[in-house]
Amino acid sequence: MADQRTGSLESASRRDFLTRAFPRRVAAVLGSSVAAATGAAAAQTPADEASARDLRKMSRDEVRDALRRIRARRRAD
Amino acid sequence: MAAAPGVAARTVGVTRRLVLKLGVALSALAALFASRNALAQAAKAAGADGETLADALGGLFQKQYKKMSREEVQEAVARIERRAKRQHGVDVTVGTEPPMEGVVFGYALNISKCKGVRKCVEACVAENNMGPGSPIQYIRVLELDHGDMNLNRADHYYEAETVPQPGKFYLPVQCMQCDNPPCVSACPVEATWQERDGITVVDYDWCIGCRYCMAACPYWARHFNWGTPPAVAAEALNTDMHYLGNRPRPRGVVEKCTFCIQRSRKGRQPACVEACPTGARIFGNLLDPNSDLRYVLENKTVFRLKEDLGTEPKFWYFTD
Repeated sequence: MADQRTGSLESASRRDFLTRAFPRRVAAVLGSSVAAATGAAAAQTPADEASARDLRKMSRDEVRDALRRIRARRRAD
Repeated sequence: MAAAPGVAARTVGVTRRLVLKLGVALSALAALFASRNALAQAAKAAGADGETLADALGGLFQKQYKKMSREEVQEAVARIERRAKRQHGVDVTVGTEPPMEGVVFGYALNISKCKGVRKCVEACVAENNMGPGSPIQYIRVLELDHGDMNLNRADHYYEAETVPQPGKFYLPVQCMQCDNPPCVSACPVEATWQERDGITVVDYDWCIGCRYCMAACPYWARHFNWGTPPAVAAEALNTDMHYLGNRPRPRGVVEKCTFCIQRSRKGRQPACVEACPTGARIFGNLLDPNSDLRYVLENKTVFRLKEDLGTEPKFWYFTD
């Protein structure tokens, strides 16, 4: 009786390993490597982008659009 | 025999109506006590610096600037002038000039000319009656390395006596008078708003000092006055004031640059523009196609600070 129970448990755990644990571990390894790559990319960018955001050069068209928006807002008031 | 529910209560006289009456009476008493405290404080303040009780009460019940009638504005102005006379012993004039038609003020600053001497800061402090050694300065001049535009690496505490330093450039930052000002949306009591001429102003008597606007401003342009401003000597006091500008501000409110509203609404240049020894600052009407400001914006390489936030700053930087 006890052997039967042990046997069934062993077979269940082997099945679990194949169906759940192994794929899950593979997914975890793949996931962590993707996350690490994304993190490294994010860590490289901020300095340049932040400074560009702080003081941004504007094209003639952008200046013209900004002035147009200011004028339009006054007309709407 | 057991009594029916409610009968026992009725026999001792406790009814729902009585409880409600008691509640209302207690609330009325509490309100009366609170207003008595406020009145006592007003009376105490009145006695402290010779202010009359009428002035103290007038200040206490003053409305928000935009909601006041013309007479109420005149009364508020007279109160401020009387208080300034008592405190400084000089006659001051508090104006209420409205925005001019067809004018939206804008500002341009030449970063290749600015040498970081901070004369603009000194002029601003004097013009706006902040007092010598004031912890509040509406203009913050930042020192940055050439080629670096990251404000996180800027130095605000450099020595103004030894400028310009080789390899450095200087970036004055003040209120950008945004056309889409986040500080205005953040104010829970509508103590700050944008005028038709584009200047964002504060009703210093309506501000509750919550500092939400300071948190909302991405340019560090709003300043909380933690204490009574340092005393300005009577002879140094700028007696030409505006209700929404450089008039005496109470303690515990948020202050900001108003493009020197007491000057600009009379057709004069802001103090920082006049004080700049290198002529790096240009102030004018954005709606006037013949203004110097428009010439700069249309013909020079221009920049805006934190432009991507959608605040639409009306303060522009440019290079030669």
